[in-house]
Amino acid sequence: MKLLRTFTAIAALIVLIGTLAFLYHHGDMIPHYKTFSGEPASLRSCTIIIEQFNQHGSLGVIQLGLLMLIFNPILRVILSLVSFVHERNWKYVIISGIVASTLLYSLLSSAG
Amino acid sequence: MVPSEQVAILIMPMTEIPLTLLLFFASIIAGIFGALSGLGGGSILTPLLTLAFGVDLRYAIGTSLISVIATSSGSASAYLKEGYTNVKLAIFLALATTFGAIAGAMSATYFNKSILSIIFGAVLLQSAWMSLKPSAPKEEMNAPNKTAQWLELYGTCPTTEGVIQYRAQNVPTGFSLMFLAGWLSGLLGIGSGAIKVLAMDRAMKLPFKVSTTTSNFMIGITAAASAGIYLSRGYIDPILAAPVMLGVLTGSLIGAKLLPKVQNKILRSIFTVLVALIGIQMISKGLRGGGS
Repeated sequence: MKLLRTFTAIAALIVLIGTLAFLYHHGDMIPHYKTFSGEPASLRSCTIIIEQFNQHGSLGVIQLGLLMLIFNPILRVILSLVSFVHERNWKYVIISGIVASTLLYSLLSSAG
Repeated sequence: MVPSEQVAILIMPMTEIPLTLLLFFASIIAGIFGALSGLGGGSILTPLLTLAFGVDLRYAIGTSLISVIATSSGSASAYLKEGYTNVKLAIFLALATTFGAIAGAMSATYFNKSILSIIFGAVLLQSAWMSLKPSAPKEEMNAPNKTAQWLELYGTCPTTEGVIQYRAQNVPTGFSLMFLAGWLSGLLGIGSGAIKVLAMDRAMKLPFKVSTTTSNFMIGITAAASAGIYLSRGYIDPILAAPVMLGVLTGSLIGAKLLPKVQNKILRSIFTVLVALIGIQMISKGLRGGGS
């Protein structure tokens, strides 16, 4: 479980760095959250966020940290799966396998 | 109660720096209250964003999902160490919440903002009601049960009267309620911890401590199931989500530290009243048709 804590801490650090960088450059902007316009494609897709996080400025960095946070519970299920394999509890290897692959599929496919 | 539109207008013309700081501190408070009450910070975060900050409900849902995962990540490892969380129970029931959450996120586009606001209010009222009705002692806690036996849904739990043994009852009912919890989580961007506790504590007759800690372990998994869908729809705004994630993480860590020192009963009743009031506010806003 130490791994999960470290992972969360790194995600938080990345988000913090991105936020400070954004505020340094755009701190005097007026935000627009009252009306919904949706995020640009570069901040919606998992693959673009991971591959080009350094090309979309501070917002791309924040989104990478948020993606790591979303991945944290999935990692938790994968770690449970590993421990079930160690226990040779095949019933729960299958159950946690279904949960983990559904989560991964939902995260990766919808944001393709 | 202050008309929410007026408050929203007061706050909106701010620039990014004060708004980010305000969101950060508001999220710390939401995180502390969430951790202390056990109801989770997500339930009050969406109303806070929409009613006080005037944020569009869709951005609020995306932001709230992030806060739910942050709360669960911050506290789940602490609870696991105490030996209450039942991982098999969590993984088996996560099967229901995961598919429920995906179904909820997919169906969200078929509801307009007013209806979502009303459903949200109803869920808050259910949470308040759940925390008012104390968990009754359960006689059939360790009764033989074939389904629970086959799925290995049993365990031991340390209490003040020594270690007790428990075994899940009414597994199909609990599983169905978990699908509902997942559906609402995906639809509204909340953790729906109150319904998860309802399923485990009331339907499956599990010890209260096991129910609440296992629920906390599951909340992040449920939220992660729909987060990808909301991310791809552009509901997760980095500038809103960043201070909220950092604030809620900080708040839930402070809350977990404070937990042994504060009187839980008083705090719980304050939070219950607060949640009920916000629930009524969300319903009335939905009925008036202004579900922004």
